[in-house]
Amino acid sequence: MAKLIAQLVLSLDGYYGGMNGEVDWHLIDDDYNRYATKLLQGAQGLMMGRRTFELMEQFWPTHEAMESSPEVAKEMNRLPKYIFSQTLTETSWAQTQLIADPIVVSVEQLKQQLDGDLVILGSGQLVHLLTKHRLIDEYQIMINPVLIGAGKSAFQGMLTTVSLNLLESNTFSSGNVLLRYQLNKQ
Amino acid sequence: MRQIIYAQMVSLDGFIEGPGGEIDWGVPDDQLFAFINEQEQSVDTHLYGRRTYQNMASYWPKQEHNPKASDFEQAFSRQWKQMKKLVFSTTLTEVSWNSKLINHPIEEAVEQEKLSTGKDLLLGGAGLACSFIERDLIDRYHLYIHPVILGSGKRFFPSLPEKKQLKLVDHKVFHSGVVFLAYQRGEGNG
Repeated sequence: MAKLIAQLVLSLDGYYGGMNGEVDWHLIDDDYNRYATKLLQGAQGLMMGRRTFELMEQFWPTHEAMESSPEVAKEMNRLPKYIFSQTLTETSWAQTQLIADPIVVSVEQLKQQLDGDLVILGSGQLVHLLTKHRLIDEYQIMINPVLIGAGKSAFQGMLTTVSLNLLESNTFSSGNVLLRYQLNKQ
Repeated sequence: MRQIIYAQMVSLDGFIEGPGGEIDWGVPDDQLFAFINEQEQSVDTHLYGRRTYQNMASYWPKQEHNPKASDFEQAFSRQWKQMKKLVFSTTLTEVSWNSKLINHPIEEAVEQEKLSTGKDLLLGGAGLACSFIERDLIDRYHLYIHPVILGSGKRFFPSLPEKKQLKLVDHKVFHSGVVFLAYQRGEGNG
């Protein structure tokens, strides 16, 4: 049974993107890339929603990506990618499976069929849906030292409180803070 | 120079109260309470809006003599009663427990406090914090992040018209899974 890990970069005021999904404020430095590489090297697959996928698809298979962030690029291109979308029908990015079937059932099936870690990158809407159904086993939240003032929250409107257990917390010289939580299934 | 610190228990998704006003998720255990009382040592004034003042004044004064209260709660009760308090309200007519009512503009009151010597000032209450943040008067943000997602409720941070860069200055992890993060206002801006 696979473990589903949601990795999110959040502003201190809790947003994963600006009002129009802007992520230009994300603090991505060498420390962050080292952390991301390690996470991806331990993964068996990636999951994304359409919006995040479209951004990633435009960047990671390019020469620019291989030169600026070779280790992350290697993993992003190597890993099997499971993308949930009702509208995308084709992609040129290798190792990608487009899934139009209902998300919750598909994710449950993938967790059953696969082993190891499946990492969800970004994909606030997907994280919201899967949190609601308690399908995410671990949250890795990277808090940036910035208030963006308004934007999209991955957890807006949960009907019941989600209880977590802190696994670890680290800080980086940039002021980024990593918080790792396990879902408390009680 | 005296600093204005805005401190609260906060959920991972940034709420200080749940949708129904729930705060049970944020009750500190002994280890956290000991830290909070330690933090109080560098503060000599509390700043409150009406609601928070009324909440605090209806609960804390009697805990010192409540046999069911923990040692930490009794200690906090003693400290709280003595602590100098400024209550910002245009509707209250009287306040107790070493409190002073402020019904004139916030900036004036704050300037006066900052010009005088003393320790730091601690602000509790999202409503008052919002007024302070709008006027760029907060120097430090102290977040006690609890391992819980509430989904909605009262936010720690109000909406802002533009980005604010901050500087991480402290980080502590507690047995309960609470993470304490302290941020200083960014250089050249708040």
